[in-house]
Amino acid sequence: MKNLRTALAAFLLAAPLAALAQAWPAKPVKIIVPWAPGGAVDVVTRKVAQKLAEQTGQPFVVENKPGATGTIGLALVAKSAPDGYTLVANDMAYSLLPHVFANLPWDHEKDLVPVTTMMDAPYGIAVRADGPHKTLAGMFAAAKANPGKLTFGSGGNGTGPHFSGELLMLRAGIELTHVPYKGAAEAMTAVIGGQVDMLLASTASLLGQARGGKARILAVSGDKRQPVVPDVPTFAEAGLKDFGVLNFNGLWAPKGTPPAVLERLQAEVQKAVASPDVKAFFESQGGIAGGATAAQFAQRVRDTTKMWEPVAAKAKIEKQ
Amino acid sequence: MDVLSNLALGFGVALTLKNLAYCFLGVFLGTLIGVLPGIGPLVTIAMLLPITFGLDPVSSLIMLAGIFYGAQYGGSTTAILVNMPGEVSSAVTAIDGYQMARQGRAGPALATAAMASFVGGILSTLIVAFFGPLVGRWALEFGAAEYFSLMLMGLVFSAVLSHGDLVKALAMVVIGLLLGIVGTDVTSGLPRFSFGIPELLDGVGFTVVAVGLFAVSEIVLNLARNEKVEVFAKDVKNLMPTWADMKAAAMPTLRGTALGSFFGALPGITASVAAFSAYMLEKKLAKDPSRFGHGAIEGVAAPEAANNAAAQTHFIPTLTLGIPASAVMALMLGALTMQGIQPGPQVMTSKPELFWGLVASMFVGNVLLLVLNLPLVGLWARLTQVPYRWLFPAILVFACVGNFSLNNSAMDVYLCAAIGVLGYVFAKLDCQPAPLILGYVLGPMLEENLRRALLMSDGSFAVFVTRPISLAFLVVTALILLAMVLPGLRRRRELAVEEAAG
Repeated sequence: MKNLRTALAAFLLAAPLAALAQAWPAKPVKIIVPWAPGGAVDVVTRKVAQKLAEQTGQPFVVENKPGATGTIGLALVAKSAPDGYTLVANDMAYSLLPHVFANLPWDHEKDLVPVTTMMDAPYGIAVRADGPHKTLAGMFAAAKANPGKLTFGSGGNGTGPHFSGELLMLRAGIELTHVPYKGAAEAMTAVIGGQVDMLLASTASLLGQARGGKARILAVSGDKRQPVVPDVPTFAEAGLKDFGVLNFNGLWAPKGTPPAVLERLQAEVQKAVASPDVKAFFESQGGIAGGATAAQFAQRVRDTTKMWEPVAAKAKIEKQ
Repeated sequence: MDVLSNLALGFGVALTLKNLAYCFLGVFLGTLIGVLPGIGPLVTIAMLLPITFGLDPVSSLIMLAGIFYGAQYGGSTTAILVNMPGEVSSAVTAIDGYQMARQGRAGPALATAAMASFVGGILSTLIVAFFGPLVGRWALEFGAAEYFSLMLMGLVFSAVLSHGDLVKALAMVVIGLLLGIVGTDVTSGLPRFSFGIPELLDGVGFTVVAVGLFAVSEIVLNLARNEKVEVFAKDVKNLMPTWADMKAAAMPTLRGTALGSFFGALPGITASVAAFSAYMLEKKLAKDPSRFGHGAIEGVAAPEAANNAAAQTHFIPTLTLGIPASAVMALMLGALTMQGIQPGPQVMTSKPELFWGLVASMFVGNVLLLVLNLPLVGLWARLTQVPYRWLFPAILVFACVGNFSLNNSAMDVYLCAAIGVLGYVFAKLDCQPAPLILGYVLGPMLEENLRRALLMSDGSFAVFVTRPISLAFLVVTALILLAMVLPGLRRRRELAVEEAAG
């Protein structure tokens, strides 16, 4: 009798967990986007969320919670219930946070668990189409001849374009001047207006101006060329090895979310990004469908975070 | 004529029953949220964004654009009737519009605002249609040096705006500057005046400041007045402006349209800057500047024409170049991206029905807005007869909802309340809020562009005079300063002559 009671108690205690995982999602899932609506992460997340809703029959609601380089939304999710009903989407910016902020309100390594990637976005370097720089090597030569004279724009201190520019200087052994703007769109405007010489950013954000004949993409990151811009060489082909900036758009869950839920979520996202319409949409954006396993993604976040260490030290980035 | 055949194509798109319906829905929603303080086009479009994914790109763009410029029409309504701008860009309309309403001329004020908005909207849409690509290319010439000189000109001009105590006005500008630099400094990436509060890292939002300063403080002020609140809308029979009113408003409307079209085409400059500039220009040009602030009809017509003109030309960089000129435009481009359309200069040629359909819909939308707003004048004017005990809580609720939804952040609501208290103190001290707003808007842009220009010129100030556009602004600034100083000098000399004669 006593054994039975223990068994029953154990069952009752374990049941909600098991049921939770099996039944997930039993109610609407909230995905926090810590950026303003209309931005790159927002667009990618909404596209995937739409698909996830179709696949699971539960709404996946995207909620924008912008502010403080995404840390407000991230901190919120880090402190949410780990039940799989609150997730957060972010991009490479996540790997920059420890180098930009002295104190983050959550443990960057532990409190948020990487689940899977939605879309990979290679980085490109863009210059004005009718400007003097036709190739990456040519631009490097010009930069070496006039150290510090060439400028690169960014959407602000501590953003992907800023760190990527610093990494480019480190790897190519050149000296450029960083000119921060309020947002990458302003920086792109400055490039095509001839105010600054170049901008490094996700290929997606460079494509429009490149297609419109206003900007020229000198090189893209990644192992192979991009199908959307087949004429543009990779950084390695253009003569710069080891420039491994590959932006990712991924999902994170609060620490302690049941493994079964995470597995199901990863599988559903993988399925969603493999569907023809989402895949085609990503490719039209210059992106590559994601769907990495949790382990792969976690490794990538760690590697990327580490990659910025020498960059932050060299650029003497002062933490907030 | 190439443009004409393109416009014909555009009207073919805009005048289909479906797109007409979306255009109407857009401008109707825009008018509605324009009337409500705190709830602006940014919040509304962000909330509607997911819904547009199911529509075809042209229809969704037509609707979203309608919300944006429709809000510029509606914003003046509450500004005139209850001294609370429904949109930030109509803050300056409140100065003279409210005084007109107090004199029992709420109807003419509202009608003038609607007609000025209409003229501004139609003329600037013509500019978009005929010179869009040209203006877009020209706007690209504006770099950090040009923006700095332009902002400097604005700040010098703003000295004209203040009525009353000059020292108090300067103090308000400085407080505005301080409010404006809260948050992460763009150039260095370091936080200023954020006191370790993450929500302050992005600064104090424009809506937060404007709603707190104008709407919340106005409500507190009204409650503090013990006497029975004046209801000036009893006499709403005189709805339409007189012939004399129309004549007085005609030139200011045209000048406001010109200024608004210019500012709107520049990325990063908001419609409120255009409205402020138009008001300042009118005050400077007026034969009797003392009328301003006491119900001058020019003070309603010029800024309303300007903010609506700016709202239309704001689409130029967005549509011809794929550059989002403001947060609202970034949302529109986001909507396009979701539809699989890559924003960029190629959209105009690869999807002409999108560009020309939208331009044509702006003509249609402005006509709809006039038809919608003129008959509403009577209805709105009657709104002032609603007892304040109903009106005020409603306005406060909308203000809170609007402030909260911008960032889904409760902090913005608290900040707005705090600034409301500050606004009450300012009113008690007889300090005008307009110079504060100007300092808040122009100050950070001035600083950011000054430092950016110097960063790029390696610290050389020569960049401001070697670049022709920048030099032109600096010369105009110098001329304004001279014009302000000279009358004083002349008066002193005349006095001296009189004394000598006497």
